[in-house]
Amino acid sequence: MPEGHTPAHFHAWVWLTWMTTILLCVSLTRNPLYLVVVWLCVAIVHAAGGMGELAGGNAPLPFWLSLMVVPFGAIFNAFTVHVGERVIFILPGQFPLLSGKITWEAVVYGATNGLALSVILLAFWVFNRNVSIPSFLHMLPRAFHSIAIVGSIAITFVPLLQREVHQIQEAQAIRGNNLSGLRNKLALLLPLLVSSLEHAFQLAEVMTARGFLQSSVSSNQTVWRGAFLGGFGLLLGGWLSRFWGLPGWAANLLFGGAMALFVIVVLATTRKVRYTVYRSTPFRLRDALAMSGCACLLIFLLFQSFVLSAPRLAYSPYPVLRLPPFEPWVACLLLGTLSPWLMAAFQKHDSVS
Amino acid sequence: MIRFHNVSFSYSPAQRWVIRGANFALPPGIFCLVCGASGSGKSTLLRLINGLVPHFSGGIVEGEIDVQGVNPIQVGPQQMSRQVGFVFQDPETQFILDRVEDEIAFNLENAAIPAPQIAQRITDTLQALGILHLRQRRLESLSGGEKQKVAIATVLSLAPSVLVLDEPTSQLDGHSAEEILTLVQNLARQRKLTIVIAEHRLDRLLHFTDYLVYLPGKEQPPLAGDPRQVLLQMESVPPVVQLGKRLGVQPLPLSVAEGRQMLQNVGMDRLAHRSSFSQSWLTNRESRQAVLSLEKLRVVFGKTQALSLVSLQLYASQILCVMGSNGAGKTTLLRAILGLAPLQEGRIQLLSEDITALSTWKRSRLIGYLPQDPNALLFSETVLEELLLTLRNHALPEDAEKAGSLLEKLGLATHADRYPRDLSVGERQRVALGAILVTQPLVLLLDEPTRGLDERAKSRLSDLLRDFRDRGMAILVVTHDVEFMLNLADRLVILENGRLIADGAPAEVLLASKLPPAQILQLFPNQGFRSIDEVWQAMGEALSRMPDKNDHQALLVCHSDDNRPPLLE
Amino acid sequence: MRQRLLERLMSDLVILSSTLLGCFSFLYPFFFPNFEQTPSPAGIRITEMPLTMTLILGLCVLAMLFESQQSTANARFVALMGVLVALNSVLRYIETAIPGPGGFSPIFFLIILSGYLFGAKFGFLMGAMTLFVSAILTGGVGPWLPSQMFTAGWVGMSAAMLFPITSHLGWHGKAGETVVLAIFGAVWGLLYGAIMNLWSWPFLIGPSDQYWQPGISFSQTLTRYGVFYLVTSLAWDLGRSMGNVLLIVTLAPVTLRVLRRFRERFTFVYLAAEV
Repeated sequence: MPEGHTPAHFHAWVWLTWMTTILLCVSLTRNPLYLVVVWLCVAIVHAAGGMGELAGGNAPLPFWLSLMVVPFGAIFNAFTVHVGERVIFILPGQFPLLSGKITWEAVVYGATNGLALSVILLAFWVFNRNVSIPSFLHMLPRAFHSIAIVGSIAITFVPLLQREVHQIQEAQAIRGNNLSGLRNKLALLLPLLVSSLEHAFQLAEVMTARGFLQSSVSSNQTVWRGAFLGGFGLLLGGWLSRFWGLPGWAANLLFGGAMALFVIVVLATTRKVRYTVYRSTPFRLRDALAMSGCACLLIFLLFQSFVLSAPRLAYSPYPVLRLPPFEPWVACLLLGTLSPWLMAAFQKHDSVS
Repeated sequence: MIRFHNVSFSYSPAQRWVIRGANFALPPGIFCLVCGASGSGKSTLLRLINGLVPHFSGGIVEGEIDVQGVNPIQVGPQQMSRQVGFVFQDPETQFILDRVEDEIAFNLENAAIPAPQIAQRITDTLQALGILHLRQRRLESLSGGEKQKVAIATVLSLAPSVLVLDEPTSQLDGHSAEEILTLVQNLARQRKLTIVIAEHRLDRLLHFTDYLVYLPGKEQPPLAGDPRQVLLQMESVPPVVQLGKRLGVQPLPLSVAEGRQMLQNVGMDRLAHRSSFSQSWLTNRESRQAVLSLEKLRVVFGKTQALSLVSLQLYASQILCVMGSNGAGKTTLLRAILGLAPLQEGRIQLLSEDITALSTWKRSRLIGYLPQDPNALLFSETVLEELLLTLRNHALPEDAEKAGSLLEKLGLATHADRYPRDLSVGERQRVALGAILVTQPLVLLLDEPTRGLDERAKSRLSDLLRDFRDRGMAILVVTHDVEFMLNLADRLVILENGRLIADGAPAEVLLASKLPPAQILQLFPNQGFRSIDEVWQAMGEALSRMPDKNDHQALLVCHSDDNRPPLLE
Repeated sequence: MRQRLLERLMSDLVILSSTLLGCFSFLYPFFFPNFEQTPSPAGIRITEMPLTMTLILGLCVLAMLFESQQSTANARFVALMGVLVALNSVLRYIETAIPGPGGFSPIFFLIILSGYLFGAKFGFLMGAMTLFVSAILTGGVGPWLPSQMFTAGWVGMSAAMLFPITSHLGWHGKAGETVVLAIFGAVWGLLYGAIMNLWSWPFLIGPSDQYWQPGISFSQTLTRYGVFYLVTSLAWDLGRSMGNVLLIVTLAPVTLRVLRRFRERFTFVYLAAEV
């Protein structure tokens, strides 16, 4: 089995940070110019191909497919939202959603939305491509150990099931069952279910004999639940504060508090699980470097949105279409999302020379 | 030290005792073999050692168990995994994760072994088992034997002092089984492990066994102790031991070498050649028409020729056995006959009708096929329903009478209303046979039917097949079990690398081949004996011709009822 | 004993809060215009909406997963769920391979039955994990995953509520059971689609729509959504709904028999200390 496909492959955490940054970016701004910058960065990283530990199997999403959402969004928005000054034409009649003025503002807004969606799709595709399934499961905190194992079992069992389907089809043929028709195909489900359940029982026995320990169910379960309820309370508070028109930072504080509580619960229960995580790939300097660009941008975004609530990134074409603001230094920060690609290119150059 | 003191177990107060009054002590470093018929409680006994019974299965345990100073009933199987490594029967269903390395790491992770040590332990264990090259492989790509080795590696990585194996080779073919058993023996020696293994293939392990535990079942206490003593009281024993018992020799011989020595001692090492019973098929060949005729079959998978230019005729009232090493094409041959494997070239004729292009489900009416795993064939709610389902599929009248009489012949009449998957392995196989035979096919194909069967079930199967043969069926059996084959076959055919390389009388063909010979053949290479009964008969004849027969006669008179091996009541 | 009662109570509270807050976050678009009274600088508040929604939803999913993990406190249930999730994921391939009418998806069949027979927590995990695992396997981890997981989890969780109903009516093992399950499947077929649309709606339309038509009331927003739904996805959801009914009516009786037969083997837990 070949060790690695490309000279540069990054740890799963790098990709997780990268994707979080992109998602946050997209959620915080509807400025078309910034979004175009981000789209270009993602497209470059996407085109660079598999850079993860064991690259996944999916082929790259063709660009034209991802860009299709842009005109679709534009048209959809133009025909359903009838607000704005620069009118293109007016659709007459009494159609429930459609009639009204069709404006440039709506088109631009729709297109921007489409672009945002396109970025999201591409980003997820890159993530899928670069993070292999085992490393994805390894990222889950130990507090969710049982769930991770369920996932592992399921993923391991699927190819076995496919083989089983084949076997059952053959068994049916041996018994004289002519396999054509949907009804006969459905007849496969029951034997498959029965053999799967048998398999589950045997597997459970094997796992028990091999020391599969459940997380120690301690009496502090009440504490964690209390913490969750507290977190929910804070979330509700944050929401209500919006409704009551309190300043943005108050709501953000409450949201932040809730998130912190949840994180604390997860970390604390993780510590309780007596279980080692054996990882084959360590986190190296180059992973940290690849992450650095995203990290900077991430900090900037978080600061902007949750602390300042300043509209540096904000833009809306309504009510009148105008040129969006563009600050070069913000664009530079956005280019930070290129860091994985840069690191990979740098590495390749290094190893070649 | 593993100690059982008056241990009894039953699943519920309403049910009978599975184990009753088990009393024995295994010193450390010993190689202990556990045997008994299916359903006699072997698996339960083994699981008591690591606590799976009763923690996983439920039930009531009486008595005391002590494993290296720990009580498994108190401690539970998860904790016991540090001291006792348990290897299960079926390599296919033992794995949780995708890769070999991760699978071994699973045990270590759950034991909270620190991460740096894990890598080292994995390397050490893989090396000890000679499978270091499999480290990064995906588990689904491994063969059955390799999978079992990985399974052993997973439990060995925790460095237990006891290794318990529940029929580890019953799902493997002959060659892999040999490998695994040799491996276990080596490990036992190198690491000074205590081994407790349950097996049907006694002949391979007896000479290495220090301690034998026999479970008679039927609520009788297990017999335990020195192998030669316990074997005296057992029913199903390997041929060499059977011979020793009949001759009344003590101590009983355990291996072929000891058997030869014994024969020399009693002067029975030279016996006359048997009659030409086994030659009968040759003389009749020209006068009989082939029921199934295979002409120059060729099957290609990718780049390998699974079958090349195989031509074979099958006759009515004949049992033909097919043997060959792993991957020789035996299963492919059966599948090709049925249309499950694509034919590149060749013709198949059933009673001079060309069926090469006929679809599988149509062929199955006249050619019955029992695959390696009969479980895949069982779909219905009751046993009777299984048989009726096949009739329905073929649009034949659903004759409950006919099905009922078939069930009787198969010995399943009392189980007609039971859920098939609740039955034992042997019974399930017979249900599957019923489901296939209900259309009264002309040809019956069986693929490795002896897997997981104990001696009693095997002889029952043999009797059944002989009965069908006498009614005119042509039977083809693929097997690796030489003793079973010798007892059953009228004719033996050997496949190697997809080619037919031998075809003839079973004993002769077997001796001339590279396959492992049966014990009887090793003791008597030239006489063509097929079972101990034949040997015994020949001995009787030889005795009557001997001058100094009185000494020998005394020995033989004690066991004159030569159809029943002596039993201690 | 009191400890266990308290634990049960807390557990139910967490599930309830999580569900309510989750619902709330889905319905956010409806409430937003009504409460937006003070004009805010255009941009940040509005564009934060899907973000807040995702955040809240994510935390709810987290809490629910944490809670329902209890149903897999035992190797047997871990194995059972792993195997059922695998089976369901394989079924999902059918969804893409043989496109049925509209949004026909065979996965809900097993999710509903699992929740029905094995309890709310098991049902929730079954739904969530099916979507999770099939997404991983097809390389389709996308932004819609948390809401898919949550909603499918709800399907499984609510199916557990049917059990006492059929038990009370004495319909176990009879035709009535199948009818109840089929109706349930039909309802959720439509509901699932409606909820998923709620999630995607703000993405497509954008929140600014409501903002710039100040004072738009709840019912008007609802009407707008209704129209949106009718136009885009009713046909699709009908396919899913009918598909569920079909699968349940044809396969549920036999499947329930099989699952019940295995249930005893799986729910047994050895109580060592009691001896």
